[in-house]
Parts: sequence; structure tokens; C-alpha cells
Amino acid sequence: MRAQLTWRTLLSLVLGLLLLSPAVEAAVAMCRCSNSYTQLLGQLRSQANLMKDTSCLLEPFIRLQGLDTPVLRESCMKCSRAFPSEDTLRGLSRHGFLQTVSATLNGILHRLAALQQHLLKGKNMPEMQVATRNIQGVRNNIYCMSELLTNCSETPEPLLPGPRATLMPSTLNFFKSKLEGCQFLCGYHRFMGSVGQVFGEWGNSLSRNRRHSPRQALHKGARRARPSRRVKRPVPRGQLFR
Amino acid sequence: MGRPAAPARNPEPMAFFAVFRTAFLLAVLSWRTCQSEVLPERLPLTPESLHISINSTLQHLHLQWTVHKLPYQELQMIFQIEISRFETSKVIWMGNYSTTVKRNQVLQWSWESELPLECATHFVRMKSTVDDARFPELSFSSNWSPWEEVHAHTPEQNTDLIFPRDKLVEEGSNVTFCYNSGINQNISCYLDRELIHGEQLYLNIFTFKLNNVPFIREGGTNIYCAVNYTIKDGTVLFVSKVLEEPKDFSCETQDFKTLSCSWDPGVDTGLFFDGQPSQHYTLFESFSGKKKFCEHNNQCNWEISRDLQETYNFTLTAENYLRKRSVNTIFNLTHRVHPKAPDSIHFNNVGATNATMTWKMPALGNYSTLLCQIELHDKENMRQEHNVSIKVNGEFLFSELMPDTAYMVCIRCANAKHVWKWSKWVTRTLITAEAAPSKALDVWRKVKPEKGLHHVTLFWKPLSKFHANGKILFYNIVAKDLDKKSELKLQSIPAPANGTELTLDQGSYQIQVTANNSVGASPASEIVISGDSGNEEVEEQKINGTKDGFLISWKPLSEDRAGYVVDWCEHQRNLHCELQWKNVGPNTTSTVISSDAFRPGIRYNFRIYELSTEKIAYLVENKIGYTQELAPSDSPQVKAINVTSHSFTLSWKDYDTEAQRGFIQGYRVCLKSKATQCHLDSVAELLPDNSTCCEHAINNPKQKIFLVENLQPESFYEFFVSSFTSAGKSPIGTFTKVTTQDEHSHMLMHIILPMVLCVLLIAVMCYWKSQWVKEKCYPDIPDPYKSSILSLIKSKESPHLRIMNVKDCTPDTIEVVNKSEGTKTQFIGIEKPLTESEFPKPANLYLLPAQDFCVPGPCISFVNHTYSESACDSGSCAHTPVPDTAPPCHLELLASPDNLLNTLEKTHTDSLGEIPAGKISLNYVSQLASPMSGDKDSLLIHSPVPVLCSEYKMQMAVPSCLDSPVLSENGSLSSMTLLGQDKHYH
Repeated sequence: MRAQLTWRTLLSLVLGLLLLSPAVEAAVAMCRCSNSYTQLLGQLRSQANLMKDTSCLLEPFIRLQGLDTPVLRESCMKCSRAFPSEDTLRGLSRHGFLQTVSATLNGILHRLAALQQHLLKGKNMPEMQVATRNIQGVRNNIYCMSELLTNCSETPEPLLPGPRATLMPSTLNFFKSKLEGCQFLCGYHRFMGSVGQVFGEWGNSLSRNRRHSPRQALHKGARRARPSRRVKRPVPRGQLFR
Repeated sequence: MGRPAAPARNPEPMAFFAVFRTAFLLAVLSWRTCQSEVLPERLPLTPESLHISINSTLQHLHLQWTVHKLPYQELQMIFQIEISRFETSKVIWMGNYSTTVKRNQVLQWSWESELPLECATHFVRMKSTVDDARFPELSFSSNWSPWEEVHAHTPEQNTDLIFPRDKLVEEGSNVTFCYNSGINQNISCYLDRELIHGEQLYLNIFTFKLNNVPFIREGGTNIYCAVNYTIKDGTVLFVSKVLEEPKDFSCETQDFKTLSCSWDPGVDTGLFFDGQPSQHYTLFESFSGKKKFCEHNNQCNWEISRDLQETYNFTLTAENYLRKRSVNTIFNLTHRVHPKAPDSIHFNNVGATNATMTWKMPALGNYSTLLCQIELHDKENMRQEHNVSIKVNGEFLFSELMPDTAYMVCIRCANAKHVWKWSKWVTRTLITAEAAPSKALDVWRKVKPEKGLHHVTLFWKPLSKFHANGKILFYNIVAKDLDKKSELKLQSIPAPANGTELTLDQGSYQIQVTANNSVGASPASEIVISGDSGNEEVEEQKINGTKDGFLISWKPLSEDRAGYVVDWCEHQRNLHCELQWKNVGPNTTSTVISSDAFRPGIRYNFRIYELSTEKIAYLVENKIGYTQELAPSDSPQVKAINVTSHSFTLSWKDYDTEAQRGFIQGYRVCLKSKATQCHLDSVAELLPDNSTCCEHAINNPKQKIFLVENLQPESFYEFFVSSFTSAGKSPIGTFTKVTTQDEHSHMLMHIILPMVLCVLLIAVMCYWKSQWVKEKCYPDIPDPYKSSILSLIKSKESPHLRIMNVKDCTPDTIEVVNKSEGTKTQFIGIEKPLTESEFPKPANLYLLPAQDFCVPGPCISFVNHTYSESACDSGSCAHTPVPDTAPPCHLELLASPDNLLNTLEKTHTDSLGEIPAGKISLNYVSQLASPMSGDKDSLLIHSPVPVLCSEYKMQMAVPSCLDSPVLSENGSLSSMTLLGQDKHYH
């Protein structure tokens, strides 16, 4: 009995160390993927619906930067157009949609880091950290969903042109950077709303395939979406931070 | 509007050139003198090569120029400068710049603009004047230089409208903004939420000034312009808090290896702006010339050199983009020793009263001597304080400790030569070992003699922790018979206990009690129970207590005494008396007994014992008292007895005066009556319900009976008795009602009662002798021999008249001849008189009168079965017994022949009761059967049938089968009813 316990402890220790290794991050994410399409879809919908809420990130940012005036707020709400529109997302196949969302979220992560550095000078904004972790969680779930679709012999598709470049801040003066950051966050929330809408239109059955958009052919060979490698410890798929 | 900036200077020429310069000037002056005579026009020392640059951040115009054809190597000159804005004609600033000009020198001068330079085109020109006393002939002004135009460069010339861009100022500064409205006439500019009303400077250029700007947020204050909610441009004003001087800057060492400097940085002046991160700190030591950039904004570590530099002079500089602040400290290293807390603290050789503590001081080595402060605390106070000097290892011996006591030992250390800071306190717990209890128990007893034995209850007070010296485990009780000397009784009572019970004979016993812990026993506490203990009786004395207790005094019994003990019960009325006692010295004859448990209205009983030198207790006095007397809580329950027409007696003998809340001093009898005036020995008292009563006072508490006299007969009285103490009367309850008797009622009783008794006696006698009277007066069958007729006959002495003896004849029939007067006979069921003609066969006679349907008239026949048995057997008998199931003629048997007989007799007697004697004449035809012979049974069983007349039948035994069912029913009275009245059968 005692020997069994010792072996179990050792096994747990080894597994724990493996979990901490970035090299096995993807494998861990894959290992931890749910096989339940319904569960994954439900989580993605919930995450998207949560993250479209502007009170999670945009509003704190507006308050912190002193943009909470009618004129400035109006300007903030002219959301960045660097994000794929809802129609565009809707026109993609499931694979294409997932890859596009994942790539866009990756760009958002970079932009958030830049915002943190440029507009906040690295000072702590808890909402920004929570949003970052939520994005990583969505990306992991998207990865799992992609795996699930691939196993169901849906053909992987390329993603849309990387929005990363358009999501990066320009070297403007501080005021314009503020506005641009604000509009970016507005676009981020709107994008997540669109993602939630599209996920909402997905059927509850894995077998039902979506119609491919014409754009699909243009992006063959593009990389599939991968989960964030920035995550030292993969965020649990269903975990949401508020 | 502007102010000149400090000019830049070229390096000074060497000394050699100074000598040369002087000579040259002298030559030039000589030459000038000659020339002035030849060329009278002035020298054109006009500034040339004027170059203007802009520093947008500092809002500086930087001017550079030269003066050509300088006649001397250097001249003291004044440059008059004009600066215009927008147009050359709009001069906004004029000023002079005085300097010594050297030949071929490039002169520099700066001007700071309040208005952002980007907002307007600036023009600058200047002229010079020689202001050199050495050359007064050169005191003239040059021509103005041409206007030089300057534009500030902006990154996005076409879109930027508001200036300055991302301006950083300190809190409290003044800032001027300008904006170019361009062609937009509807442009509105805002400072955060506030609409700005700018001052028009020139055409579409507006300006506004912010004075004493406050810090609002780290993200800066937004200033922006918009047209119809469309932002055209904006900028951010970053207002930094003012950098504060570091406070409480000090350095210290804990190990002579590192100096740890710390300070209070004050506010963080950092902003969300690259130009203003949080302030940083630099440490500079002047003796070593070393400098260190501090990673933290409140502390910095400085490595101590191996040669142990003795003195340090540190300058701490706080710096941000706008300001720099410095503080300084200089100290001797040995004066900044802050030792770490002692460690490795151990207690060795821990005994009951002493222990040794050892400890170590880490990291300081042998560089300095340390002073250690040791404090010893018990639960309440600090008991000991010691100072010990050590180098590295410390040791201290604690003494005079209490056994079995937990102490808190605290220790801290500091540099002995110069106490800079003490180390942190380190606390450890020291628990000393146990020792034997140091004091004898305080023991007392209660003795209850019973049936030749002494029931002794021992009490003791637990030892204080101070005297127990450990956990008391048990108590030993040894009882030694003083008469027999050798007999010992040992009891061991486990703790916690504060008493036990012993049963001893009536001899004298010495009882020793000890408390024991794990180490040993306490000194023995002794008391002696003598043979007459518990039998003492002394008179109770009342004492008055106060809120503070009772002052009790007594008189000594003897001269030779060891002391006194006063005991009392805190809760007298409880079953378990919580016995308390107090020891008093032998020379004291009074003491104050006080207790928090004393309550008003509770009677306390104090017994004072004198202890002889042999430890025998003698009861001296017995005192009772109250700390505060209260009014009685309840009134006596009174009975009215001996009620007469003029008096009655009240009695409340059950009233317990000792259970009251004070000493009962007497009673008040309150009597209500219709009488309006009270008797002389009472007073009128107004009651709470506004009625009055006559109150009689009884001042003897032992009198519990009261005679109420002088009352009216047949009158209604109400009374109530209340008790009273010194604090007041008992509450008034319900009045009891009494009505006095009638004045003659006793006489009536004297008459009526004997009469009733007599009647009853007679009735009893009559009942008792009723049989005798009946036999005497109303026999069922008159005995002719006993008839009074005989006496009459005898008295008449008629020889012809004699009584016929039945034995003398053999009759077979008796005929009863009913006289005509017999129509009045009250036979039941007879509705009309019967006539003789209606009896066709009068040979048989029924004793029982039949109903009307049975017999038409009184017909009594006796059946002699002896003679007619054959006839019945042959079936010729017309009157066979009717089955008992046959209704209406069913007859029930009486319970016994006697009853039946009696019933019959009675019924018959009753029926004939009203028949006058002689009205019915009986002709005895035959009388064979006695009424006791059982004929009646036969008659009853063979109930009447509807025949005119019964026959005289043979007698025969009644079958048992017929007896039983009838006997089981209750029928005596029913039978009588059947026999008699109302035509009902039962």
C-alpha cells in the first residue's frame, strides 16, 4: 500500500513538471482537450459572450486614461476596423473561422502588451491581465475545437491575412495613442461579439458542416491556429476571469 | 512673455594672449585716434549671421550670431533684441543682452517662449551697442540686423492643431496652450470635460493659459478640439506630483558586511509617460567616492569594504525628469549596528525555582560587545529584568522562580558601546518544575450527631497556585481516634474536591488533611472532633448587617485558645449549604464578614467557634441577620375559628416567620365591616382601593392568634392579616369573609338536635323490633292461643266458647265465606264486587289474588296434593302448571323462601291493610300446610292462569330446572309488583 502511494506521488511529480514545461504545452493542451463538441462549443460561446462585454476592459481603460467624456467616448466608440467583420467570419468555413479567430486573438495579445507598455508604462491594470488570460483560454479552446473538427475529417483551411500588423500601434502622440487604443479595445469587444454570434450559429452537432466561403481557396497552405505558447500554464479551457 | 536663457561661452584665451591683447588694444587706440581725425563715420558692429533654432520641448528660441570687424580683441557690448510674432511689426519682446564679445566669437542666446512656438511664426532681429568704458568713442549703436523668420517644425504639420504636444509639467505650474482653428469656425476645444474659451492671438490662432495645474491622473489631462463631436486634434498635459525629499534616511548594519539604507520616498511621481517614469534614487558615499543606483525606491544595500571603513558620508539623491532632491547622512559604522534577533535559545537544568538560559547572537562575530536585555514575565507582570554583556554566546541563570509556573522569557540585544537599535524581541516559554505544596489546607467541618454517631462533613479551600506548587492530584484524610490512640482511618479523595464526609463514633477524633501533588504532600491541617461536637446550643442573637457585610463580635469562652472560626451558609435555604468560614486570630473578638453572595432579604446565620489549642471547636455564639431587611413577601394564611354571634378568632399558626425577608416585628389585623367607626383598640386605615378598615396592631411576632370581639350578630365582616418588618408590611391580598351567627341559633340547636336524636332512636328501635311488634300486633295468622280474644273470653268465662283444635278434626276443605261487606276488600285487580254465585266451583282457593282475567273475584284455595296427586296424574286436572315462558302469567321466583314469604306477607298485608278486621271471614275447611312448607314456591311457579278459580292440588317438589332461571333474575320487588299493582307484569 505504501509503495503504491510512493509511486503515485512520483508519477504526480513528474506529470507536474511536465505540465510546467513550455515544450509540452501544446501536447498538454491537446491532452486536456475535451472530446465533447457540445461542451467545447458551449464554452467558446460563453467565453465570447463574456469577452464582448465592454465593462471587462474598455470601460476601465477609458476611465484610467481620462477618456470618459462625451466627445472622447464618441471617438472611442468608432471601433477599430482592423478586425474581421462578422460577415467575413460568417462566410468562413468552421476551420477557417477558427484559424482566423485564433490568429486575430494572437494579434490582440500582442497589441494588448503594447498598450500596456506604451499607455500604461507597465503599471498594473488588473483588467488587462484578466483579458489576456481569457484570450489565451479561448485560443486553447479553439485549438481543441480545431482538433475535434480535424478528427472528424473536416479539411483544415488557411486563415485570413494576419491582422497582427494592423493591430499594432502607430507611433503617434500620446493623445492619439490613447484614442487608438480605445478604438482598438472597442474593436476587440465587437470582434468577440461577432465571434460569439458565429459560434451561436454553429449547430449542436459535429457532423453538420458549414458551407465554405469563396475566400477559402485563396488561403490554402496557411498555418493552422496554434494555442498560445506564451502561456506557461495552459489556462483551463472553461476558465473565465472577471 | 519671454525670458533670456543663459548664453554659451567660449573657452578663455591663455595668459599669453592676454598680454598680447593689451598691447594690441593700445596700438589700435592710437590708430583710432589718428583715424578719427581722418574718418569721422561710425563703426558698423552690426550682428551678422544670425541663426535661430527652436527647442520645442523647452520652448526655446536659440539665437547664434557673430560680430564682424570687431576693432578690438574684445569689447563689452550690449545687444538689443526684438522678437515679433506672426508679423515683424508685432513685437512681443524686447530686451538687451550684455556680454563681452571677442573677435570671431559666435554669440549665443536663448529665449523661452510661454506660448508654444509651434503656434506662430517668430521674427527676430538685433542690433549692438558698444558699452565699454575703455572705448568711449565706440559708444554707438549699430544698424538692426534683418528680421529672421523662424517656424517650429511639427511632425504632422497639417493635422496638429494644439500645442504643446505631450507637455510635462510639475503640479502647480502654469501652462499656455494654443490651437489653430484653421478654417473650422465651429471648432470647440476642451480640457477634459470643460469647454475652453481661448483668446484669439492672430487670425485663427487661439491661446489659453492654465494656472496652478493640479495632478489629476497618471494618464494625463486630455486637451482636445473637435468639430461636431469629431476630434480634430488633441494633446495630453502630464502633470507630475512634486518630487519630495526622502525622509527618515538612515543606514545600519546587522552583520558588518552590508549597510542597509532605507528611507521614505514620499509620493510616486511616475506617470504613464515615457518622459516621466517613477523617480529613481542614487546613493553616493563621499569618502570612498562610490556611487550606486538603487533598485528600489525605498531602500538600498551598500557593501561594506573589507577594511571596515569607519565613517560613512552618504548622499541620497532622488531624481525625476523635472527635479532632483538630496539628503545626507554621516555616521560611524559602529554606531549603526542593529543586531539580528538572538537565536538558539534553550533552557537547561530547569528546576522548581531556577533555570539556565543559553542563546547565540548571529552574524556579528567578535567585532563588538553586545548588551542583551532579558525580561521574565509571569501571566500578570514582569518579574525580573537583567542586562547581560556577551560577545557571541550568552548564558544566564534564573533564580527565585516559582515552582510549576509558566514564565515568558523575552530577550533582545544591542551594541553595548552605542545602542543604535535593539534587535527584535524573542520570546520563549519557561515552565518550572513542580514542588510539594507549601501551605496547609484551610479546613473546616460541620458535625451532625445522629444515633450515637457523628456525621462529619469536612470542607477545605483549594490551595492557591502560589501554594500548590503543582497540580494537586488528591487529598489525604487521616482520622485518628484520640481515645484509642492507635486506630487510623485513611481516605484519599481525588482532586478536584473541596470536601468529604466521614462517619465517626462519638469518640474524639483528630482529623488531618493534606493536599498532594506529584512531588509530595502539603503540611497537614488538623481539626479535632470531640464527643460533644454538634450538640452545642446557644441562643440566637439578631444582628444588623449592611451592604458591606456583617460586623460580628463575640465574647471569648476561655483564655487558652488558638483562634476563632466564623462560619455561615451563603445560601441558607438551599439543601446543600455552601458553607463558608473565616479564620480569626485568638486575640480578636470581632470581624466583618462580607461576601459578594450576600443578598438583601436573605437571613444569614453566623456561628462563632472558638478553637482550643487542641484544635477542638466550641460554639461561642450564634447570630442571625440580614444585610438589608425587606418587607415580607407574603402575608399569613389566616383561619377564622370559633365564630359566634359576637366574635370570632383568627389564627395563623402556620406562618413561618423565619422564612421571611426580615425579622417579623408583628402583625396588622385589618377588619372591614358595615360599622362606620372603629373600635377603640383599632385605627382606621385607608386601603389602596380607597376603602377603609379598622386596623388592630399586634406587636408581638410570636402572637399568631387574635380574637375579634364586639361584633354584631348575623353581620358580615371581612378581615386580612399582614405581617411587617422594619422595612414594611407584607402586601395586602384578598380579604376573607366571615358572617357572625344568629343570636338564637344556639338555642335552636339545643332543642332540635336532641329531638332529632330521639326520633332517630325511636325509628331505629322500631325497625329493630318491627318483627316483634308485628308479631305482637299484626300477626299474619293469628294464634288463637295468643289472641287477646282469649283474654276476653276468659274474662267472660263462657264455657261454651272454646277454640277448635285442628288436631281434633280431619278437614279436607276450607271454605272461606266472603261476606257481602267484603266488597270493599282491596284485592288487587278486583274491579267489581264478587258475589257468591259467580264462583261455580268454590272448592279451590287461590291465595294470590289474580288479575281480572284470572279470577272474577277473591277466591283463595289451598290444594292438597297429597290427596289429588292421582287426579293430576290422570290428566284430569285442569290447572296444570303453566310453562314459565308463557307470558302474561309468568311468575318469577323470589330469591328465597323467606323473602318470598315476607314479600307475600307484606304484599298481602299491604293489600289488606285497609281491610278492617273482621270484614273477611275465613272458614277453615282444611289447613294442612304451614306457610313455611314450600307451598308458596309452588304457588308462585304455577302462576295464575286465566281460570276462574284454582283447584286444591297436590303438593310436589318444584323442579330445579324451573328454579334456576327465575332465580337468576332479580325479582323480589318485581314479584311484588306483579302481585299487586297497576296491572303490570314483569
